[in-house]
Amino acid sequence: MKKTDVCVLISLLIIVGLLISSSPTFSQDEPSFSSWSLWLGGHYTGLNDFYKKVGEFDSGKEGALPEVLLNYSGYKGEKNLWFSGHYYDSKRISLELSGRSKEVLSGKVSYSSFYRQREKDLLSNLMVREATNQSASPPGGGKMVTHEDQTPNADFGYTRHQIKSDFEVKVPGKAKLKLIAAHRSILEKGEDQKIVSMHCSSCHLVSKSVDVDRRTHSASLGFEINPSNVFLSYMFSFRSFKSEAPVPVAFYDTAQNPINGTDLSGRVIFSGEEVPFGKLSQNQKLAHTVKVSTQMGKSKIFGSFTNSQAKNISEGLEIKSNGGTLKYVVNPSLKTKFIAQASLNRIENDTVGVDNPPWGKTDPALEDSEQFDFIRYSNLTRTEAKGSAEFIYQPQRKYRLSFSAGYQQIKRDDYPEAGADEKTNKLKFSIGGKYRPTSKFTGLLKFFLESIKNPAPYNLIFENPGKNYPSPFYYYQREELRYGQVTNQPTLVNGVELNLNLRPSPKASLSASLRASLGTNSDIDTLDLKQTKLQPTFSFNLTPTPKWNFFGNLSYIYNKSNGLAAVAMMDG
Amino acid sequence: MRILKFTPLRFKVGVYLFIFSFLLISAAYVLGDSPPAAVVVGDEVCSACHEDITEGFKDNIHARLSVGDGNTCESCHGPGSRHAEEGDVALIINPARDYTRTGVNLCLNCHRGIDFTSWLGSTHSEMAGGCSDCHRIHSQEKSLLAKPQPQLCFGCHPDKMAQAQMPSHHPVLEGVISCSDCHSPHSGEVKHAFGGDSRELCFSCHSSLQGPFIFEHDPVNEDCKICHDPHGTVADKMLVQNEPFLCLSCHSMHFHTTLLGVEGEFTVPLHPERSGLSTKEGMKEAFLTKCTQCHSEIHGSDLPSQSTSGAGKALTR
Repeated sequence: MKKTDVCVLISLLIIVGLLISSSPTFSQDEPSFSSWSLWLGGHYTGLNDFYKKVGEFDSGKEGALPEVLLNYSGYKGEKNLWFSGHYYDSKRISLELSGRSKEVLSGKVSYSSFYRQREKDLLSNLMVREATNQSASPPGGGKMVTHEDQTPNADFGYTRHQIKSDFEVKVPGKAKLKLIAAHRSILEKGEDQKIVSMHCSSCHLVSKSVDVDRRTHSASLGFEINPSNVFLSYMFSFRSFKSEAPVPVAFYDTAQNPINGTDLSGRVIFSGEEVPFGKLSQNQKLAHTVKVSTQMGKSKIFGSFTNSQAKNISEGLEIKSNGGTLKYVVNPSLKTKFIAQASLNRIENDTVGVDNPPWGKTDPALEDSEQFDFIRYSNLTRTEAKGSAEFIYQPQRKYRLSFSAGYQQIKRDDYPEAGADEKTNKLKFSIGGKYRPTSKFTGLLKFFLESIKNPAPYNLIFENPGKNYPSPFYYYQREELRYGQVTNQPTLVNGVELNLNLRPSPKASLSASLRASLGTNSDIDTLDLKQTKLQPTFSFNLTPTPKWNFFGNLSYIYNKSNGLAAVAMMDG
Repeated sequence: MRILKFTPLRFKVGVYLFIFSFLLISAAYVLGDSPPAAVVVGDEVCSACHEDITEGFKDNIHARLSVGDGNTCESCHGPGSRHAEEGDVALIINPARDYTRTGVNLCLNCHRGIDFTSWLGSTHSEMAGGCSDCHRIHSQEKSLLAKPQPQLCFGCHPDKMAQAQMPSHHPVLEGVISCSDCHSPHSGEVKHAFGGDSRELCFSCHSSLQGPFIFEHDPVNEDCKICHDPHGTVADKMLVQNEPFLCLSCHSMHFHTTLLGVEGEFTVPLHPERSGLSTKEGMKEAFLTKCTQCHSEIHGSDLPSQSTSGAGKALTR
């Protein structure tokens, strides 16, 4: 952890301490209470040669390691303090300090870290030469794939440190004003694998070790006010990301025919030079959010509006969005409830003009025959509208029936494709029942159906290939197939959810559940898609004393996706 | 037969008579037969029978915030004199029990922050049995949770518990992050989502992927969950399917896949230092194993890929 981050953590801890201690001193006869627990122990890990298989979030240290847990909870008068700390190993530590004073000030500061072990791709599947006329002199053709590991002994992984704080101040008065401030910093530091792929003079992949030093800082500031029957809140949020690690660079082979060495630089945008790769762009996001709610008789209305801007600082690109939601809940009678929700969101992503060199600029026969400049339109530029209504009927408290229907439309614009249907429309229906005769048993059953029109719009889920047909080059004769109407998204999903929970006593519970769904897509031209999901689960929980807990769970998950893969049919 | 006509005057007289009769009957009912109203009796009376609760409850945050001076229990349970005298559980307010009977949630009388404004109508509000399903109001635990996370959430969401055990998962079982780091159980909204689109929650931690990028991968713009299941998967990187099958569900294969490889050792003519052992199926192994070996910047990039034929859009750099 960097020195500045340590300073931030210490500063925040001091702030919490000052906030708590700044409250007026209470008399000696104030009620007070404190309890703490310290657990000293350890854990042993035997890994032999399989430390890489331990898991993504285990640093894989072999042997006996000490472990410490410390908890403290106490109050004096109306001042409260909690602390918890856990040392698992040097890379997994958590600390949390929180306090509250007189229901006016409250604050929480926490630090946590863990190690994320990254897998290493040995690239061993990448070694082949195409079988062509090998007897000719020189041998004819022959695409070749090779690989190279420049850091064979590297141990990839990074440690993630997070510092987080939340503060609230309630201002005394009838307006019930509450000021809110929050902050979070995430630092990821370590080493990771990056692969450079070049495909001239041989398709050659190079594995490199690159530094990881990613920093994310976010902060929020706002207020909540409750003057009478109306709640109003405003929050300003800001987030920034920057990588402090040097941008990796790699030398890309000079573009030559792999056999006879003729110049192929007209087929690539760059070659024979050292260029950066795997660059992480600096970005920012800021947002303003307003939420309002009020109660009018038997009905309650909740609304929110958000304006946000996300920027790619490195490239000067921007996403703007404005969105609002509205929710209306009414109890026409003791036995009925009606919930209606609607939202509208507009997102605009900048378009970018991309200049590429023309095909074959160094080959007189092909010079300027194909242009590859294009304007990058974004499918993120869209208007999303959602609406739903749910009616709940509860003849008795132990029975409950609900019916709901919802509609969603995503309209993507900025696509100049003629005849393209840029809209995705979804219709959702569900019917559910709940039976809860006592607090000891709950049964839930729900059927749902979702119909989706145009889940991935034709020629829209992929960008426009940006070229003309027919093409003299075989690479493009398959463009239509590659950019065809293909998706893994279903057009019809229906399913059932069943959940039974039995709690014969506060110390024991049994539950069984079943979730099943079937998704199909009969609209697309190249796939017959069918997605089946089935998941029965059984679990129990037994807590004879607060210190003992026996817990068991058996869950079976069956997921099956049927689809025909589109096999290329060309020159092999 | 004479038909009584409802003239305005007669109508008014009728209304007055009805109201008077109603008041008279109500007064007779209330004054004549109603049981005496319960009165506040104080904590000590409650402790006499419920010592197991009141002993530990004095250090509970609710007890210390109670506005009732010595009437802590009754600030939530209502006046308890009749319950104390007769021992009938029906004569005392039990917020947990009464919520399931009447739908009235007493907790919301005090817990009125903006987080709770969208509680009504949320899935937890409608499907759970009230606050006491998750909170033990008399306990001394922080946040008064009935169990620590994630076990509390897994009780009703066993499918998520099963997914958390899968080879690729967020470190929830390791205790490093908790369910409430992403989910807001009271409002039904996702946390950290300060606007924009549905991917915002993911970007709050994976902020390097926010973009916008010059070269985009369109499903990334649609929804992270097209390719990832954040609760856990068998496939690496929480992918809903292993590579290359996930990629092939939208894209066609590289044509190189159908080529045959030579059998035996080979050396790249222009790069003698590059050599290896090729097999007949080598092209399939190379091009049908893991697409992201080459297309490593699958979430988007600002740098053009090498090939002109792909217009720089191949996301390999």
